[in-house]
Amino acid sequence: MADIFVSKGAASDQVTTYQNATGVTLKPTPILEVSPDRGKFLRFENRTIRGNTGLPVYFDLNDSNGDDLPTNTLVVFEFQMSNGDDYHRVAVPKKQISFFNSNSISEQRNSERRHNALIPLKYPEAADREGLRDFIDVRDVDSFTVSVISASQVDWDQSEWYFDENVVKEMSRE
Amino acid sequence: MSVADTLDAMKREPRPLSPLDDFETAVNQTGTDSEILSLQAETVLALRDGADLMVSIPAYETYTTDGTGGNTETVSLSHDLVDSPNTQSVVLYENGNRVTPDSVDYANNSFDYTDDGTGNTLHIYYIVGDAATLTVEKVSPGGKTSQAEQLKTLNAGRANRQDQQEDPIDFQFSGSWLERFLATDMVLSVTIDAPYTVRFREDTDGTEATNALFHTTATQGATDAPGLLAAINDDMGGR
Repeated sequence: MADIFVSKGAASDQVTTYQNATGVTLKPTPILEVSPDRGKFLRFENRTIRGNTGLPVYFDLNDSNGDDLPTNTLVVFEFQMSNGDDYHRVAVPKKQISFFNSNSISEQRNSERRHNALIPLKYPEAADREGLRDFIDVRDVDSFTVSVISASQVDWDQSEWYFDENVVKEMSRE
Repeated sequence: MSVADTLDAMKREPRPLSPLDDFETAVNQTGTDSEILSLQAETVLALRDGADLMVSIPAYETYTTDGTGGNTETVSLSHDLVDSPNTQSVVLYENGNRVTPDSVDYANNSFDYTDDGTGNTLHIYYIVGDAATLTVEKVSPGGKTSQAEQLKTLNAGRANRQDQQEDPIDFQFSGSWLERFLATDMVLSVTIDAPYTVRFREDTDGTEATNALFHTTATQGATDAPGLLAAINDDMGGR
């Protein structure tokens, strides 16, 4: 188990935060990057809850005024192998964040609602395999980001992001 | 190989649909059933039985601020502004810049805004409770003789006020197995008969209705399926 989070200025050590570029609408720009500790890897797992499959995440993203990011903000995970040239999408993007804007973090975790808090992990385009995957392993040399397309810019002093602790496992590469 | 076998064997990907990214947008004619969104399938596209459809259709209005700088102005809206449980109720731009109202008065359908300049254009995208009929249909290519089938019809005014997390709207396909499929070049079309103007984006200042919702997840096939269009046309005619 691993607790990977950003909360109002604080963050777990594996996380680096960024601010998205609002002018770029062509492709997502990162808001946080996860780099596992040296010699370790993190395994992010898809879960199936009430018929929906995905990685459970809970977040509240706000701009510098403390206002929610726009409803049509796109959220996706991107992954770069240590020897790769570029980032590839490894999730089916959330193209609207209505659920995350209208529910607090604790409401999002409620067992009656958390089936809406899933972002499905999938194989990248042009990979050998297609469709949803069971998990993705991120090694210390790889890069895994949460990236967004949004008309407003995230302010991490007023925002929070949590990966569900039960679906992220930290393991040794040995 | 039958059409069904071709579809079974086809590579496919989940495809989330969003009004601003995936659809062509159009401005409606108020009071007439007119198109606001259309999506032409590039390959086989299948809607999902039971998939959630999030719907919030904003009205669009403009307002020009007065000749006094720095005063608080009350902007009265022409339609029933509602406090949406699903999205931001008011998205406001001063010319091309996103701004926030000082306060919003839902009972009086108005909001207050302080403009430090004068004579600026406010672009307002707001969620309304006025009754409006929204229809989703699939249309075969082929001009005047083209066939169409309704897939969903709902009242946008009611949907805009409904908490769609607690009480989701979904697609239900009870006809034939072909009902949820669109063959290559078929169009998924959304029309609305509304007393207000629906405009998802305007180009003068480059503003967008970032609070609009018409989101569902479909399944996109990798290629087209020979014979599927004919099968769908037969199927639509047969019911």
